[in-house]
Amino acid sequence: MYGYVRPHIPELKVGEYERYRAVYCGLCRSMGRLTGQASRISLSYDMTFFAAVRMILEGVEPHFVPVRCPAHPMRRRLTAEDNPALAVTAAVSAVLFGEKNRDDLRDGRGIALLKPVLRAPLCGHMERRAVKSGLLPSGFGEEIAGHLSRLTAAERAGCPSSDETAGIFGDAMAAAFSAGMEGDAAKEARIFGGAAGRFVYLCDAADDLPGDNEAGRYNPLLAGWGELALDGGRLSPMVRDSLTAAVPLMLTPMGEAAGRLDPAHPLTPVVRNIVYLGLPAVLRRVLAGEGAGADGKDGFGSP
Amino acid sequence: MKDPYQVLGVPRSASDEEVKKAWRDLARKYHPDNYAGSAQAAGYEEIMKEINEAYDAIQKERAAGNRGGAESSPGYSSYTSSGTTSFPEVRRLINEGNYDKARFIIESTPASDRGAEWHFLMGWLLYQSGQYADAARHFEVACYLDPTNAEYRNARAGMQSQAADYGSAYRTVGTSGEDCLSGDICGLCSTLVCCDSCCECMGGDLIRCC
Repeated sequence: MYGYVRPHIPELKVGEYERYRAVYCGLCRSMGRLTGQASRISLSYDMTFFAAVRMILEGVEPHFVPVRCPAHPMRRRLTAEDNPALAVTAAVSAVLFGEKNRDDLRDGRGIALLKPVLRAPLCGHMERRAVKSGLLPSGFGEEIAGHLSRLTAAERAGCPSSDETAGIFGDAMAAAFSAGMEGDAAKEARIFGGAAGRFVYLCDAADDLPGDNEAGRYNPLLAGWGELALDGGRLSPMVRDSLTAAVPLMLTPMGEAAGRLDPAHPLTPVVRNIVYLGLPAVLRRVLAGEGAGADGKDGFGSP
Repeated sequence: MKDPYQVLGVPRSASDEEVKKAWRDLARKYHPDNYAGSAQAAGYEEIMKEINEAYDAIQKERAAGNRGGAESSPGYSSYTSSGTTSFPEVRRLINEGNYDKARFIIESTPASDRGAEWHFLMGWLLYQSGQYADAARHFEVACYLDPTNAEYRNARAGMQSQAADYGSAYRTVGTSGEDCLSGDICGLCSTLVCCDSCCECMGGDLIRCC
């Protein structure tokens, strides 16, 4: 995934930050166990958010234990022990990573093809193990592939509506977030997934706009705004203003859903931090041309 | 009357696009809305009037054939003068809540007639259907094509102020568990004392010993 869905660390309490980091580490370990050690490369902030939301909605209480790992050999770090929510997130992550790689293989040209070609065998292995785990509902991979092929078709047709393309990506993420859930929890998970997917898609579009323009690739903002999209090779103030106004409105259903989360769950404050503060902060950085925020840039290091 | 070219600060040889850009820049800078409430607002209204008159004069002069020049803004059609309504039927349908029909008329408008008002109405319809990114784009383009129109500016400002409220729930939702009833023991005690005082005022007594 892309790493746009992250907390605003300066506003987290120390305990909340520790728990967030523990979920991040726990997801990494679950990935290693379920879909193979190499699958840990698919770990992202987005999937950590996904895991935290799933734990809250399914009422899974995380247990934190200090663990030493190859990435942090010197000091034991608090890590969430494997649980059903982390395991499903690891399986979903493997499928999404595989689909994204297939997408890169389809769209890549020249040297850009090298990475997806090298990753293809690993992705196949990850996906097979994820499906074999039996944690995903039948037809899950096909459902995600269906949404993504709809997205590819819209992009190839040069769709000028960023709401339409972002909406399709949001549908794919809604399906991923709610995989295996039922009833109200599934409904809430779809709200989180849909909004997070739209957010990620639009941030990615804004981030890639100058590069896509130079390379002559499709970009939803470029297709909609035409010559007004860029100003001196950077995002034009008009595009910046429009996204500053539109994205928070788009996130509102997720903001409401975050308000409905179980207040007693230990991960609820982190999820609310991400939804209410983290995403607007990422949007500001992306629109200023700084990217999602390099690790450690905010002075607090990576999780 | 002053030379309109001098007012806009462009040479006589400037293309239509350059004239329009100069007018837009000046209109953005001197629009009275930017100075609302200040003592200079009236002065800026005068300046704005002068700028608009100069632009209109150049437009008329060029339209009369003194100097030809085609619009060169691919993708966006030309300026629609403020105050004139080109889509009364669409506005009526929107007021009646008949968004589908309004959308149909707007979408079937030929590209050549899609001026500032078209973008504003399209933005309004998209906003109603929750397509915020496209709505914001159309509002921005409407303001770009006609920076002096208060209706378009208000629509854009409305979306911006709604967006600015996002995240304010963090404080209220995030601290809801720390209200007087579930917070620390001091909060609980002061709540009981308050309740007791209220009861006593009404003739009752919640806590007998105090």
